[in-house]
Amino acid sequence: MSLSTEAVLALAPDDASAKAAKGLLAPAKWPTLAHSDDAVWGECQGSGSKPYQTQVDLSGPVFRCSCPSRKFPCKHGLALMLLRAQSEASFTAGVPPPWVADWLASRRDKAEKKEARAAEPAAAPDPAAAAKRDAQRWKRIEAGVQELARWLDDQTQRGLAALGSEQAEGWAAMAARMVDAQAPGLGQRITQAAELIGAGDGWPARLLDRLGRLQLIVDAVPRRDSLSPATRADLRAALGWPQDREALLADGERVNDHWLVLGQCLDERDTKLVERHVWLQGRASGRRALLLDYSHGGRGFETGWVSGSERAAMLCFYPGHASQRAVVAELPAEAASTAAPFAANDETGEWQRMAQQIAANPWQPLLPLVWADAVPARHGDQWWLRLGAASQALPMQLAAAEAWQLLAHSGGAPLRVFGEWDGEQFAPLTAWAAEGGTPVWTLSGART
Amino acid sequence: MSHWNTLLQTALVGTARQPVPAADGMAGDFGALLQALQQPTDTAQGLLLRVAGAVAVGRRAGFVAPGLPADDAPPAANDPSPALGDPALLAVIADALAAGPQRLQHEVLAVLSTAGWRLPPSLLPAALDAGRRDTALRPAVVLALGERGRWLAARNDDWRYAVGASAQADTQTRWDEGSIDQRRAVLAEQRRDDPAGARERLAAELPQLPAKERAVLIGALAENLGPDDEALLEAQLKDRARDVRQTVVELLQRLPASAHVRRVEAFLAPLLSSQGTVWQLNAPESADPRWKDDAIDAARPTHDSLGARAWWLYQLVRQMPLAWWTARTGLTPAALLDWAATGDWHDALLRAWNEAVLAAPDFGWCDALLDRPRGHRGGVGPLLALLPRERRERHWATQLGDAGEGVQDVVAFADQACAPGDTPSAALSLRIAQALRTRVERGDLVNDYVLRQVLGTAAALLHLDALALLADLPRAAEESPGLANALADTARIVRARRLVATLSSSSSSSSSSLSTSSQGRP
Repeated sequence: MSLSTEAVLALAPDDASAKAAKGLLAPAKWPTLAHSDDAVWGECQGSGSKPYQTQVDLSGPVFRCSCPSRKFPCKHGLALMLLRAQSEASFTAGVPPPWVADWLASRRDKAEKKEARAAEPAAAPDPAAAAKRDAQRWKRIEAGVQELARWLDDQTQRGLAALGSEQAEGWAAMAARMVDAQAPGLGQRITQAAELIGAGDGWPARLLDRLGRLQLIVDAVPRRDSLSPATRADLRAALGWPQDREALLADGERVNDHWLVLGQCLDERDTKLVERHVWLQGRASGRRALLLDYSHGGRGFETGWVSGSERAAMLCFYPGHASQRAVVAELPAEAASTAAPFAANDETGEWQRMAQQIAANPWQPLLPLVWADAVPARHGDQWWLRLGAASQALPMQLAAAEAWQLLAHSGGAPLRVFGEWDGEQFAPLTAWAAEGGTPVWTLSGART
Repeated sequence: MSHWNTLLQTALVGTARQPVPAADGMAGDFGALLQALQQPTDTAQGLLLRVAGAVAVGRRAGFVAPGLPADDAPPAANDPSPALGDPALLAVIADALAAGPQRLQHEVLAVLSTAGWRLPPSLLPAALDAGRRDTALRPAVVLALGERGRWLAARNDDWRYAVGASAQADTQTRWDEGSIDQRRAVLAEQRRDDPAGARERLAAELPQLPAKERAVLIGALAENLGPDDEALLEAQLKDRARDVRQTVVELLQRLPASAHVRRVEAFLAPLLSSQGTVWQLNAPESADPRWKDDAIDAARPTHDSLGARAWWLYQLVRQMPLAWWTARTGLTPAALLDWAATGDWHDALLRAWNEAVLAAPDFGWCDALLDRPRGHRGGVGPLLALLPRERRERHWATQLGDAGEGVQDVVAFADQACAPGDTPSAALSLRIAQALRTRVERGDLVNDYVLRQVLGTAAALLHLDALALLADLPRAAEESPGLANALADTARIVRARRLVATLSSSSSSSSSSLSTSSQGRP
């Protein structure tokens, strides 16, 4: 498939790269612009005497460039794809030159070797050593959790009304203690709870909700041996225990399907750490999956996903009850295609799906929701998403500029909207016109 | 679930002061779960949060979305004109709206709507915001919005300017419900075919209009102004608002036979006398009380550069049609300017004549004023703006010089004189572009910061035929960031204008398809 301008810009690692790419759009700066079925390539005049060689494998899309930039994809790769989207006639059809063909061949080689390696029986890991490491980690976590339990009880004995900005240090210290106890997931939840103190009307109720659910995790740790393996896996995920990728690929549940890219978003976690959510839905299985990736130092992400597109893949799901998080085990070279309209639940079905997901694992922070007949609306300063058949609406968490874009695309008519639900607010990520086709709106840029 | 509120109350106060409330009386499996959680155990630690956590999970699973009052407004109407869909064009328009300059923004919007397209939804917020920031851009924005854009604008107070009556509404609706600009447009349109009807429409509402609107709407009478308008204008000379009186005076100056002009002549004529072939001018000795009736302002501002008598002379002359001077003296405008330069009242006359020519354009006087040496004329830009392009360009060509040494000034003049959508002629644009290119090739950009700015201005300003000369300016291996930015910005503007120009040409060749296409270009 050919990417639209918006889809290409969505692949930019940061705004500066996108802006720099736009400055390279004069075809005169590109002595060579060509394409084949598999790839697009060009040579871009830079500050040196030799032009940069830039190429894109369309099955990813995956970028490569001879420039020294550490951004990924670099401005040259982005500019090449922007030119492809806007000035297709500038590209000549041709056979890839050696510097492109060799790269494509080496990528195929790597993919084949990866498959061969996967077919080999894995070397038997040392289960005793692994069990010992796990036991040590559980011991540290349990000690931390006991401290946390006492601390939480202290908070409730004093009362939430006594909380104010002067308690911020204490909460930050407890969050740091959880990281020391090798339970960073707990630390993150404490930090998120601390941000609620004094924030807006009704903050005590929101805080009680968070602390209550945190208490359930605290209670589960000492009872872990009596939990089912799936629930224990959910607990480990909630604690922030990293999953061993090799073990996951070896033992995890695999689902082979054509996956619709429902939507994606970027969150800036720290100064240079960007977290990306990519939500997929299997056409045959109906399964929903979350790919969670991190990028550091503005490098971007190796595999790009285009919202509204569909591609075949073998996903490997993390252990747990009705787990959503997955990694890509196999990604065939065939290019993504524009997804045919998918059948969506009605509202009741979507709420039931959500309820079942919560019943299966109450510790998941975000749930994916698709609304087939939704209309964005603004009342006062709050943005809402009206759910068509019923006279109900969800409060939306969306920057004003993005909200106006969404409203412009709707024009008061229903849209099909996908987004993340955190229990209180709905964050839309993708919107389609009622008749389907490519998305009319996707969330752009990083959320802070 | 009221139990949640009970738990919340206890949580606020603190369990040290208030015991954890029991889940007594709660029916069903969930109630049983809560009661089981509250069975006495070896420790009460965490009891409140444990129950709250269970209730919180239940609340999430059973979430019921709140109701919202029904939206009375209907969805956006269907648009008769197609939305632009070409990705390259959309990208350059988005860039223009985000990065300017204003002239480019105006051009892309105007070409778009002239060619029969409207903005797609994705560009509407950016266009509406551009109009919010820049009031001069608003007419072009409004024309490119389509029904969807107007629907959207009605929902944001910041974009209120774009919501007059619909452009498709009939004249009476636009007059009754439209914005001030729409009402002015109604009058201006009507003035072309039915000047008397427009005047009567205005007269019927003048008494209740606020001053600002009176001035704007009276200004619309400039279209197709004629002697029949004199009575209404004469009556407004006594308006309380200075802006209104000023507008009226400027219009009456265009009616040489009006009573107002004759009264001003009666004040001015005695001051001009001839002795043989030599004309002499005196300034008034004192202010005449009758001046007030003709909106002649006798009160000199404290720090004005003119003295009291010069000020009075200036006030009289600025309201006198320029044709009177040439008719009375038999001298040409150029000769009159030479004559004024030798007399005592040169500053007052020059200033007044500049204002008179702006109020009632006279090409002969414009030319003469522009031909004066720099110190002997007023601002060049406004005068140039009054001339039709052929006459104005004679001055620009002179200023440019054979070797193009005056190119920076000429670009500045042309930028001021050309309204958005207007350009210098192809011939002059080519000369300007060549002069700029020569400078760039000479390496002047390295040190000349004004030239960097002029380059971008010219890229947005010059005739399309000249853009090829600015399209591929030479690049160097070692460019400072400022220099690289200037060249990149120039290239961006050139590329955008050339691409947008294809809309006009493709529209003219395929206009018969416009009525049948609904999305994108045919």
